[in-house]
Amino acid sequence: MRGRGWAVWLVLATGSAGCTELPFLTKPDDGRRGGYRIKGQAAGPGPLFLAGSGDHPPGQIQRFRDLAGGTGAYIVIGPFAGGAPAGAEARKAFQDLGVTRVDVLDGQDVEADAKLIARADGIYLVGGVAEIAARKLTTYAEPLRSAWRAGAAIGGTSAGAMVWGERLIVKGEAREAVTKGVWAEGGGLDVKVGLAFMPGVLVDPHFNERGRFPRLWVASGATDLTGIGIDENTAAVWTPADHRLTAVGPGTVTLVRHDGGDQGETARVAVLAEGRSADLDDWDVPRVE
Amino acid sequence: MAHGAGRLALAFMLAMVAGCGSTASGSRGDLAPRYRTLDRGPGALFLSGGADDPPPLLARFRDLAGGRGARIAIVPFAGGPGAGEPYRVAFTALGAGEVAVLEPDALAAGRAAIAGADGIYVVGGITRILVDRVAPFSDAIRAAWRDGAAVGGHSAGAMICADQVIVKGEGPAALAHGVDPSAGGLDLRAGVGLLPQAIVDTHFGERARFPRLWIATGATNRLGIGVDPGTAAVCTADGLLTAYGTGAVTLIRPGGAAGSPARVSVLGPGDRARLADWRPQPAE
Repeated sequence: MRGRGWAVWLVLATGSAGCTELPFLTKPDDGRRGGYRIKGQAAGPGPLFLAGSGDHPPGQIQRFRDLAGGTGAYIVIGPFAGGAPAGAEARKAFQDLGVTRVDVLDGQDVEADAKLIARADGIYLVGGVAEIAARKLTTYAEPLRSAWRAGAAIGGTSAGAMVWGERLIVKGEAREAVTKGVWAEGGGLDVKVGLAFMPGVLVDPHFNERGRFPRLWVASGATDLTGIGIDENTAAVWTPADHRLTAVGPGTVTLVRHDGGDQGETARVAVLAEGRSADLDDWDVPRVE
Repeated sequence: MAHGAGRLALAFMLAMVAGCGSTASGSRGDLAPRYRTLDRGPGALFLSGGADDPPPLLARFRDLAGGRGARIAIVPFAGGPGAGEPYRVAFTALGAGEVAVLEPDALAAGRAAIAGADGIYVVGGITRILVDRVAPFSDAIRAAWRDGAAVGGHSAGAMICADQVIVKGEGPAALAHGVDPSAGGLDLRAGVGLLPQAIVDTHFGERARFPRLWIATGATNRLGIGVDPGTAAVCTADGLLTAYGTGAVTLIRPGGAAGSPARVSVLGPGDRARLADWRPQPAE
């Protein structure tokens, strides 16, 4: 009785997954892990799913579930920025979407966690305090990187999205940015080093909701990186194989690039709405092989 | 060099005003403004991000109008009855001279007050209502401004100074439907036209308005000026835009073709940009 109930449930979940399939991705047929692939491309680094808000809206994490391979994927959750309760919340959100194999990393026992990471199809970081997440993740960088290079999808929300860039803003908002610049000691923005899975960029979530355009404009200019601003309930999906960045969700993804020269202190800016994508070669973001 | 560019911008602004077909009013008699001179060129534009202006910003407007003793005309047409009163009190406390509060139905008296004012301050409110009610006064405001009166306001009062005004629609509507009011997208209307080829947006950082101004400027090939609350963008006859207050002024120059990247600058307090090409200049 219980088994039949499960079966019906899974069919329903798979059916709904088909509706939200990302158009530029295709299901793997080679039996390798990591779920969906760029059409016509061999396995390489998996996609990066950068979400702009702290909670787990079903529409959004369903996209991540599909990037990791659908309901059959093995997903591990990194509660580094938000602690154990946030990890449990995220696990429930994935389980509600029909993912049966979900684990929350311990965060202390690096060796045990590394074993889970090595088997994962998707690794998802919850939000919280960006600085704490970045510091804790340094001890996890190697297992995470090898799983990602083998094709696992990497994702995160809010602070869990910021850490994948080359730098991240850990303190200061627009007002501090325009009055003091990137100058932590003087009350301006505090910018720290990220994991740089996505080199050449600086990610800023809750973007338009918190009026963060000025802070990303200032921080990306000062660090000479490409700024990626992500609205709430919205994600920026980077697919390394074709090096494109695609917006998913009702908000926008904003790209900011200062290119110096005789344009002085102006930046090139594009705003991507749902389904639109940008070629990151045009935005001075280095490719990752 | 910078002086030449300023003149260029000034000539540009004058050409736009001449295109509007307005003429300076003749003899003003006793109503002649105290601080305007004919050789001064157009007055300053004061674009504040709303909601209510703190006294330091109002003092800045008073100074742009000539300082203590300047005659101020307040245009509170969108704020409901009594909306002008706090501004009459505030400008009086700041040492302004005669302060007149205009009424939308008193056209002749209002136009006369505008013609005699050193500063014309437009109080914010519902943008669509303000655009409609200010329209009969627009040529008088343009004439006074060309003669040197400072013009400005906060929120909707700042937005209507430009030649195109967003009267309806926020970011999601703009992204989904562009500038197309019949489809639920942004609705644009003609403003007073003191700022040529531009669209001003207010409450900028606070209300997540970057996407809507980005869409509006791209669709109309106009320059976008987004002003945060507590902040004013001041355009002066020397061709410079200067940011005052506590927040940012965001300048968007569209990239031409629809969807192509724009060029964007962010000015903090004290930062300036040249109006002619919107290049920022270092703060002094």
